Amino acid sequence: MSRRYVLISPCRNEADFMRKTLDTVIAQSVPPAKWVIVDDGSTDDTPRILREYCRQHDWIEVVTRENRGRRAVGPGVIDAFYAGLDTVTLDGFEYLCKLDIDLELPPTYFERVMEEMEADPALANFSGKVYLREDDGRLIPERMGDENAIGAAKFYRTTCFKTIGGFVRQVSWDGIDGHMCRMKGWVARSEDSPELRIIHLRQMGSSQQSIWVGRLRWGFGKYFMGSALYYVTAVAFYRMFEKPYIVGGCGILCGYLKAMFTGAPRFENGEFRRFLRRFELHSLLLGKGRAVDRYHQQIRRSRQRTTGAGSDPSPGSSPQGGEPQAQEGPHRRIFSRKKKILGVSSGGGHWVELIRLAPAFEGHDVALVTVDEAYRGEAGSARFYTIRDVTRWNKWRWVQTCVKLAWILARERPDVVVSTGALPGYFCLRIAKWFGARTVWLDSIANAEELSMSGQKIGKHADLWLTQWPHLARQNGPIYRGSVL
Amino acid sequence: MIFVTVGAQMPFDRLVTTVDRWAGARGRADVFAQIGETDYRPSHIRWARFLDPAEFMRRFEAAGAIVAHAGTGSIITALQLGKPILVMPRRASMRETRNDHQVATAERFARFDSVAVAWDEKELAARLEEIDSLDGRQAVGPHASHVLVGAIRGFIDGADASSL
Repeated sequence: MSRRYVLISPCRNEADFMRKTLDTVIAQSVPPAKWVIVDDGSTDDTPRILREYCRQHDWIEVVTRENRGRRAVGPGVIDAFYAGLDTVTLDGFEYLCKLDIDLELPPTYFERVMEEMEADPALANFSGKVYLREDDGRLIPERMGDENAIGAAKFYRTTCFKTIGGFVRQVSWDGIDGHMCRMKGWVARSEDSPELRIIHLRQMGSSQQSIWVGRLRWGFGKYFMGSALYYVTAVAFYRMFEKPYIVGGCGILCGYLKAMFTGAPRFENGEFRRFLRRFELHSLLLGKGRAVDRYHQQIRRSRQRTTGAGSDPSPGSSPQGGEPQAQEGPHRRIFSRKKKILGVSSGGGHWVELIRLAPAFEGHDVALVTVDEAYRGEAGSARFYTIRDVTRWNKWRWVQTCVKLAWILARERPDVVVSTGALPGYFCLRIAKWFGARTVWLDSIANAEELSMSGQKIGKHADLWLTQWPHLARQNGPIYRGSVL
Repeated sequence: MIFVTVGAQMPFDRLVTTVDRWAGARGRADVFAQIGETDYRPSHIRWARFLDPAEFMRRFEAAGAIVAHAGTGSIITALQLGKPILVMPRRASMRETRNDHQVATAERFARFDSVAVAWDEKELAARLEEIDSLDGRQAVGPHASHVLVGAIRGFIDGADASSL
């Protein structure tokens, strides 16, 4: 696999720090094939320093844009980035990276990043973490989520960058791109390790007026991106408990509301907004870390499916055939990780059938839900919950049972939910989808003539939709893979 | 010992009365019935409305034969324990259940030698005469088929439905 990568660096009046960035990039163990630096109308010593480095290294190119006065954080930087990108033919490069010019990079930074990409074919947007260096030499981490690469050093697989349509020219460009990656089936993340620690030579946001303005912009960015009001409210509330207390959270919410009431423009992409809203719901219900984890697992699974294990170049790493083993590289872990399983059934035959599935759950962390406390003894070592039984005839009880199911799901946060019916299982699978779980419906063996009512309705809400009778299997319908007998 | 069960959801008096009369006529004192939420009180057999699962299993295991509605829980438990079972399906037309799925269940399970089916009370009474000679040796194991277990395991491990 090629390790040719191109750097594109927008810069404006960076004379104080840029030598550090230039020197640490030049000293990389695997240096870039090309580096386009866009001088976005600098009025300090920047142009002279750039000329100096350009003379010494023929792979560094400078593109000069005229002075447009004030520098805008979002759109301006991306405009400058594109001014550089326009001079590059991407086909010749496996990777590209938007790199700010006020950073100090560890000597093997890009080598490590590319190793990570090579180990995980689904990973397409990656970075280390950013630190600030105190006067006494201590490193202070800058806060940022693991679900995206940092905006200052966006290292991209070229194919993915093209698939997502590049960066949006707005303030939340470095938030949108991560979600866009996941939507298009790629993993975006950042990771902290000593070899991946980037030193930011200037406090983020300090080039702008104040923290308050920064938080307002944050809120505006959320609005532009398409975040839901309830989600931003929750985020703002959560941020009130960290520095700057109260004010920080309020700033985010104010920024969002201001944008909302002034009818500010939004990123108009229906598919993206639906994807984002679903992600936000999952984040609230599962916690963001877990939600991202789920999405990435799903992405890797479907990638495995489409590319097939045979195309994996590394020998002996096929996840199929034999007992899967833990292998190095984060994408291998999903094949051997212990999963959380939630089995749910009503009483009688449904419960008997669920219990007969026990060997399918062996080695996993299992919890069972049914309608009668008296079954507890048969649950063995599984955690055990009861709900009130519901049928088509006692609708007034539905709400109560659904609330309890939601509570159980919030507590258990299962990876997979399996139901043998009946109606309580149907509800549980529907709610489980909100929590990002994968679902199995096994229609009871009692339904030999036609599927049960719940079994018909669950349809596409079940990721695995099973009947126990071969003659009831259908194309685009339930499939038959044996029975509980 | 004969254990009669109609399941936990609805009563099934048609079955219980037939067994009760038969036991009275034949002087059988070794019949115990779980009869559900009903006003009917059997006069010749011992009975309980509901049994907790432990008691249910104890009675089930102690019995030489089972008489039951055609519920899969009862039938599968009988197959699992190697007990002969005589079933009569509930009928939707008699408001014994919501639909006729038990008729289908009975038809499908009739292929097991140890499952006998009576389609109505008359046949049930006739079949009760032969109940002691029913063969219950054809037991099934305690777990679902390898194919089904394998499919669900595969799904849990990350495969998707189309590749199972």
